Amino acid sequence: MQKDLSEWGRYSDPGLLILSSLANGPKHGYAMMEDIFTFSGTRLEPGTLYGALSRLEQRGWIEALPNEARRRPYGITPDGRQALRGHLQTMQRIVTVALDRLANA
Amino acid sequence: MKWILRLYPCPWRERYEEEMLALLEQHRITWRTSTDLLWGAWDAQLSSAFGRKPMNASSSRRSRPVTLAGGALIGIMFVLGLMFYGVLSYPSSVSGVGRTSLLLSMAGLLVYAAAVVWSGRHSGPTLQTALAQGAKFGAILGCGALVNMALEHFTALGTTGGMVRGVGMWALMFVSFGAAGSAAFQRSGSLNRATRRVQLCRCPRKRRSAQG
Repeated sequence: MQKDLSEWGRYSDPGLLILSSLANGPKHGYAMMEDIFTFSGTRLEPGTLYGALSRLEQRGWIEALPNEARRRPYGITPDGRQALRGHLQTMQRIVTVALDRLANA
Repeated sequence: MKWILRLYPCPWRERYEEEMLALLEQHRITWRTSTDLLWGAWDAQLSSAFGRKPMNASSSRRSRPVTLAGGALIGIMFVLGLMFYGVLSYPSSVSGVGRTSLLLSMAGLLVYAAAVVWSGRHSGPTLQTALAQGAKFGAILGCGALVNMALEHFTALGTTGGMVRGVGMWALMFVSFGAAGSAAFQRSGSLNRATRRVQLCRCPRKRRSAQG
């Protein structure tokens, strides 16, 4: 089982986007797709979305909540918040260094 | 679009199909959606073969005899496909080195079939499933190779036409034999019935709703 999002190959970015979307509250699949498109401009397709959801759920970073009609909301777990925070801090370091180097180039 | 979801493994469908269908009803379907779902089905089948199961999904309902018989049958198809490929490509090769290759291919078939049968008696479900899934994906390649080579021998197209036809045939074979392979493995009844009437995995609604 991969310990870090960066080891998830093609599901790494969708995993990050999903965790970011769930950080402010539970959402079902379609609401996640719309939210992700709004804040990132990335349009996730259903196959990719559910491939990543399955991995996140298996890892214990998200959990399925009781069904609303045929739609099932998902919420982020404390482990998921910790994983997201760690990944974002790494990204922040990269962004800071890259911007600094661009400015000094 | 619902038919593509039938290419996903049964445990996956029991867990996610209803909510994916609800999502697809709201989603604008494009060719990207279809491609993405096909890729997702492939990924889910591979994940299922190598032990990653959807959360809260029940274990696969494939019976062991069906899985083993399917593995052996499709393993045979795979090796036969490769043998025909060789014979059609190089008819003169069925002598000398070619004959040795042919015999080695047949020996490979026997070893594979023996491995499938052995795993059914002595190994855990992971190896059984891996062998069976390996045979399934191998069958896709072997049958695709067979059809493509037959077309190459019986048609004479230019370079561009040949390339387009080759790529198209491979794509078609991947999809159609993938679906047939899934049907053979996921059918809960006997393999004979499954191969006679190629039907795709049907998960009882009762079980799916029980997941909710």
